[in-house]
Order: sequence, then C-alpha cells, then structure tokens
Amino acid sequence: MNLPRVRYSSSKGQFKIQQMVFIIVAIIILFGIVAVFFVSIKFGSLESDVEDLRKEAVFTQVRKMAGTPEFIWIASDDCSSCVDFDKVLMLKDRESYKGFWTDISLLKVSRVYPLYAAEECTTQNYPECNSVTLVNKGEYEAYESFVSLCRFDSSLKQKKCEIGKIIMGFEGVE
Amino acid sequence: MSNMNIKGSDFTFSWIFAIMAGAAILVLAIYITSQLISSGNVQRDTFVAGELANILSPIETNLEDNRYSVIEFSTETRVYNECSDSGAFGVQRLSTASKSSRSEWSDQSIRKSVYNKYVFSRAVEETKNKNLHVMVNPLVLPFKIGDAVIIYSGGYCFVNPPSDIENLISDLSADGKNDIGLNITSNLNSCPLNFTKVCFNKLGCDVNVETTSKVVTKSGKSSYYEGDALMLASILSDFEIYECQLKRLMKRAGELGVLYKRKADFIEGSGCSNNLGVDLQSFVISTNINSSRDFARSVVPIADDLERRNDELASCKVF
Repeated sequence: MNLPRVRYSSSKGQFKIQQMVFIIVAIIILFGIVAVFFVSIKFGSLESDVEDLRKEAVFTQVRKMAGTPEFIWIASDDCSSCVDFDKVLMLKDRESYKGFWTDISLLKVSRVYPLYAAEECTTQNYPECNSVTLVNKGEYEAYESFVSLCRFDSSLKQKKCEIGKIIMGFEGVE
Repeated sequence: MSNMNIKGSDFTFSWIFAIMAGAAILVLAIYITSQLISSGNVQRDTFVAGELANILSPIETNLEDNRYSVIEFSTETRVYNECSDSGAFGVQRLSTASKSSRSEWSDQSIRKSVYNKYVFSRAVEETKNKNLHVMVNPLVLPFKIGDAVIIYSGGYCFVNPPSDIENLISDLSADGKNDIGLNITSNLNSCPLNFTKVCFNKLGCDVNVETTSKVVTKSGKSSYYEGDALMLASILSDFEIYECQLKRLMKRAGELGVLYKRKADFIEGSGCSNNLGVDLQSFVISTNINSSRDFARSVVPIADDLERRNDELASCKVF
C-alpha cells in the first residue's frame, strides 16, 4: 500500500529537481547575458577612453614639441617657437631615439615656404629640401602646428628662419 | 508515520538543493561583482595615471624659467613614481591608487611608461586635500636638457634659504598669496610642526642643504646638485628617485650632446667655424655617470667650459 505512494512521491521529487535545474540554468543564462552586455559596454568605453587619452597626448605634444630640447632653437634667446632645422636633420635616423616619442605614428618637420623640388631632406640635398621625417609608422590621424624653421645660412653667415610646421600623427584605436 | 517521513525527506531535499544552489549563485554573483568593481577601480586609476602623464606636458617650459601648478584629483590619490635608468633614455613609470569612500586604497593601477619626462617626487606621493603641487624647472647644462618636474604634497619649511630660492618661491606663490606648500622663515622654531624642515648651511633639520659644496643631506644620504632646479628636486624627492632621474637626464644630455656635435661639424662645413666638436665629445663622454657625485665632479665643469666656448662664438653659435 505504501509502495505506490513512495513511487509517486519520488517522481514528484524528480520533477521538482528538474524544475529547479531549469530555473538555475535560466538564471545562469540570464546572468551570462547581462555579463556579456556589461562587458561589451565596459570595453566600448575603455576603447574610447584610450583613444581620448592618445588624442589628448598628441594635442599637448604638438603644442609643446617646438619647445623640446631636440627641436628648440636656442642659439639666440628671442624665439620660443623656433625650431632648429639643422638639429632636426641631425636627429634623423638616430637609432637611440626610436621609441622615444611614445604613442606617435608620425613626426615630421616641413617647410611651408619657400618650397624646393626635393621633398625629403638628406645631408646631401639640405637645405634645398622640404621635410625631415623622424617617425612614420603606418596609418595615423595627423595634426599640425606652425613654427619658424631656423638654420645657419652659409651665404648669410648667420641664422635664417623660414615658415614651417610640425606634423604629428597618432594611430587610432581599432 | 512512514508516509510523513517520505514527505519530510522530499521537502528537506528540495529545500537543501535550492538553498545550496541559491548560495552558490549568490557567492558567484558577489565574487564577479567585486572583481568587476576592483577592475573598474584599476581601470579608473590607470586612466588617471595616463592623464597625469599627459597633463604634465602643457606645464613644461619653452624658453621661460619656472612654472608652478596644482593638480586637483577627484578623490584622495596616491601617485607611485618609479624610475629606471636602463636603456637609451631610461624610463619614467607613473601609476596611481585611489581612496574609496570606505577609506580603503584601491590596487595600484597599470603603470604608464614615459621616456621624455623626469618626475622628481617621493616614491609614493599622497595627495593632501585631493591636491598635489607641481613645480617645473628647466635644466640648462649648458643647453636645455629637459624639465625637472617636481611633484610634492604636504608642507616644507625653508629656514634661511639663499636669496635666489627665496625670490623663486616668492614669484611662484605671488608674494605669498598662493599656498604652494613651501614656507620661508628665518627661525627654525617658527616652522609648523607637521612641516618638513629644510635648513640651509645649518644642521638640525629633516633636510640639510650645504650651498657651498652643493650637497643635500637627508636620512643620512647625500646627493649633489647644480642650480636651483636640481637643488629643489633633491630636497623634495626621495634619494633613489633623484639619483635615477639625474642619470636619465644625463643620458638625454649625452644624446643631445651627440646632436649638437653633429650639428657643429655640419655647420662648420658650411662656413661656421666653431671648433666645438672636441668639447662636445668630452661632454658626451662625461654624461655617463653612476651617481650625482659623478655629475658634480665631471659633467658640471665641462658644461661650464662648453658654455663659455659657445658664448665666445659671435654669429654662428651651436646652441
């Protein structure tokens, strides 16, 4: 007489366990979906934060680059935004400076006026050339800052300054 | 009786199962949440460290003398300053940790590495009222080498400093109108109790400065300086940080010396007779230092000589 009731109770218990397992699985799936949603939002904001940081870094560096020791013209103390073009040329291809300017994909100093036929400067064609490229690594967004490019002029036997610009680029976050 | 037992065991089992499963889910949820909050704090602090490295750029100097600024944080923050002199220029690593509303410090953030900045501070600098003082002084030896960025908090009491330091502090604080964390007094006893006391040419303070031999002594360790920028950097930073940053600055000076030597040789070929090549080569060799003592002994005299030689050139100065 007791045996059928035991069987009935056991199958009812199994049903309840199954019910509980389904609920637990459903809860875990729900948690999983919420977690995936949360992580995707989190990483999305992280990407934009990193991009903002890089942009801000480049903006400040573009503004201040003319005043850094490697660029600044200090042979006369009356020009705070003058770039020493002779020194920048000497800086080109210096192995030790590779990696010195972090987060920068392009660093170039160009003459705006007058322009010459030769684009890239070497010690052979200098000063009758337009640009000295110090860093150039693939794709970038470029920003410019106008400066005076000063150098020692062999015909004048003194300094000569021309209009130029510093171009800096940074790699976007993919 | 047996029916009741079976029903009882059925009820107990499902409840035990539900409680155990519920507890497991709750523990897992709490663990995941705490991990997310923790990683969120580290992420925010890493962002702050990156921002800190960025906002130091606008306050760097061009041709002007010194700059002072206050960095305001949104919470009480610890700034960890690590310096390594390995590699061509050494590296500056900055990281932060913030204080939560429960007065607990978060984990140290990921370090932001910078190669062209020289931050002088204590190894761990903690904000006071969420503020940090920043003083930027250009280091010219004999040409501009970089900016000594001095970060400090708390108060310093300077007892009888030299007139140039007194004038500098007076200028930066707008004649005492702004609190820049540096007080000047002529009497040691008038220094506030919680301030770090700095004596000039006199013993008995937390930091003692000997201006004749250009030595700063604190915690039994002596470091050597040249000029106001390095004097302040030595006073306001840890000995190890100061020595490391000075070595990094000398590495940069060496690289700049190479650039100026190449420039000197190059413009000499264009008709600018300067004869600075040999002196610049000596300067480059001297910048390979092991300590601030080496700096004072070898770099400073050669730099002075180089400056004098360059100043004698009329129309085609190299720097």
